[in-house]
Amino acid sequence: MKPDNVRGKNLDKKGFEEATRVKYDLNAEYAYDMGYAVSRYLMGLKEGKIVGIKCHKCGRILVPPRAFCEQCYVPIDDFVELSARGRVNTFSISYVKWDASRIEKPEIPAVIELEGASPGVGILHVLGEVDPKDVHVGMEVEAVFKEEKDRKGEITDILYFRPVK
Amino acid sequence: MGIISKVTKNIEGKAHYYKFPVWYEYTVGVAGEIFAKNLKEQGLLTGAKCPCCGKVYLPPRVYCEECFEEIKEFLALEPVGVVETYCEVYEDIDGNRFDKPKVVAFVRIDGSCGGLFGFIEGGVQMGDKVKAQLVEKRKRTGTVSDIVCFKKVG
Amino acid sequence: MGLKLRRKVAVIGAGLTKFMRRALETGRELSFYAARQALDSAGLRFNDIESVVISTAPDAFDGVHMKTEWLADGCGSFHRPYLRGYVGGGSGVFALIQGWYMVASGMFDTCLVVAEEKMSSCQPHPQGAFNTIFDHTLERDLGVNLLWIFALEMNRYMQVHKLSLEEIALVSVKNKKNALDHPSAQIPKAVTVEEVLASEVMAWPVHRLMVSPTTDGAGAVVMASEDVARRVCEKPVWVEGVGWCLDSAFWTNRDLYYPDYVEKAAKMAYEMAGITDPRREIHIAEPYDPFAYKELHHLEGLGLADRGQAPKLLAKGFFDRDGDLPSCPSGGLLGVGNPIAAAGIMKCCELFWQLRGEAGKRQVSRPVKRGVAQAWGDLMQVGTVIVLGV
Repeated sequence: MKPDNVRGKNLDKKGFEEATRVKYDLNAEYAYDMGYAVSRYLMGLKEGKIVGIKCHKCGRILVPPRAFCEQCYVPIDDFVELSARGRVNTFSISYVKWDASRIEKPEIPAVIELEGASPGVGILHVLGEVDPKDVHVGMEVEAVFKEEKDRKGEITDILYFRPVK
Repeated sequence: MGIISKVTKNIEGKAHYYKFPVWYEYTVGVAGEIFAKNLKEQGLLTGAKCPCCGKVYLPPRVYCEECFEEIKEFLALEPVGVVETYCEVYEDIDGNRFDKPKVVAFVRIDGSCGGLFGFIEGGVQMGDKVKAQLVEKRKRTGTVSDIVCFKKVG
Repeated sequence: MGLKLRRKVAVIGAGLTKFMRRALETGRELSFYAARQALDSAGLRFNDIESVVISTAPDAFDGVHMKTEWLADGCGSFHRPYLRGYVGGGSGVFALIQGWYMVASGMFDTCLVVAEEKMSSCQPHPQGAFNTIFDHTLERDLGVNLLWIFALEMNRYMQVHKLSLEEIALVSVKNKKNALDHPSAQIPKAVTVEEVLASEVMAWPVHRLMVSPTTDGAGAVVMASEDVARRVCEKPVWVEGVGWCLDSAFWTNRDLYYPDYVEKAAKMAYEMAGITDPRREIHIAEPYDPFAYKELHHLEGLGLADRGQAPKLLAKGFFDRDGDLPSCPSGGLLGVGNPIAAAGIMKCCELFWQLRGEAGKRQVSRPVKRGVAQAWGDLMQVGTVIVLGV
């Protein structure tokens, strides 16, 4: 039966610790330029607004804004202020962090379709002030911004989205 | 209307910082474990001999890259060899100047067609015969960090 | 597009290592094991290999910069022209597509195709290496992790088609059971739907037994022109169609319930193969299954089930090894393992053995002459498809 003669020696956790290993700290740090479209988006967040962009060719209103429409492949610069409200397109209730460690209080990431953007166009963010049991697709939510003095022009200027009462 | 005309208007540009949060722990592999054992226990290096062409690889590996045959014969080799090339390093990786320049050499190990990089202490010339100075046995890890430096012999 | 095959190309040998959580072997050693096995099974000598394709996914897993160049001599690339193919998880099938055009172009008569991944080097956990898949400015600061996007996609898929977790859990049951008969398998197990749903919730709706593991492993195939194949191989497996497609990285602007990019890649491959009715003309499938729901998602994208209907067919046994259209008879990523780039090549190797009747206990009941393997990767973006036949 194929494959035959499969080779490879698996190490369990203890075996891995006992094997000869070389450790290396990557220490890779990055300073990313934003580009002009994302810069404008972040400026908007600092002001407590959500900014999108319109493609003059296909008419789509997109968020996060971008310097060119990826479907029409033309440069675009028609920024549009969008609503800070939207609907949950999809969500998850996560008990695991990036390093595979577990958390007790879950995080609720969601894709939120923003009002004013084209249908199906949304952003990734997290939900808050909500019982995970109550979250559902289609739920109306609104952005909760940090206090003006605490905003820095970052995606975390929005603390989370919460259900509209 | 292109993008360029808008780029410098009313945009606060700044950078976003990120540190990639991972580190690595590499296993040394089947051949590497044999190298580790010989170095730790006997203070010897290890070569791997191809059954087909007879080439002795150092560092050792389980296959010959030219014949693509599996290598099962490993030879313990004295950590002596010849300086094939060297350079003098004046700065560290961040550009800070050393008090004294460091000499890094590629040493072709006797009995193999391979070799190792190492620091040279006590002066160097092309073609010098050198021997590895190892850390004391109980502190060895079995990797090339066990080699403190190479020194001229004879 | 009017694609016509310029020159027939066949797969004439295959090899696979054990798929493991932490291999003692280095990536180069794993590559050598797989490549040597493929070469031996093809009945060729090393000097017969004219070109090499190596597929390996993020350098960030093995922690080796320009990973392919480092793996190269273990993959038989010594002094040979080689190409790296990299589309994340799509690489394992993409590697064969590149091997195909190395030979189909007429430039080479043979190509050794190797795929490898050694994820265990990455600490504190290989999952961390995926962090950079998310947008550096707009997403990472939210505390992202890879499970999120799969959970978000799975939830959307379930919502749109009104699916239950039980229907999805059946994929884990099928694949982990199939993997019991795969010598390379990392986590084969007979599990029930109840056990899958009782397993730890990682990122709802994803449960632990619905996720493939992180894996070290390698696989390889030998591809050859018609001339060479007919001379050395008793039963060559022909490349009948290839296709690949990339969707936008703006993944929050797409409806995740359906993989358009898989459909487009499949369309390209089917057109080349002259397939007009995939459900009748494809006899066996190896769609990519990093998560249980993904197999269903991809079966629909491949046109092998109507949208939302794959779970219903699965429940009827349609995709079982003794069903009408066996899917993941190997045990898939859920049972055999997921060494990112090498997972796709594992699926291609499975088709190779199934089409030649060499899969032993995994051999499907129905006669098979034509199969499709598909891999997926990046930020819910890449579809790579290959149709193989005898």
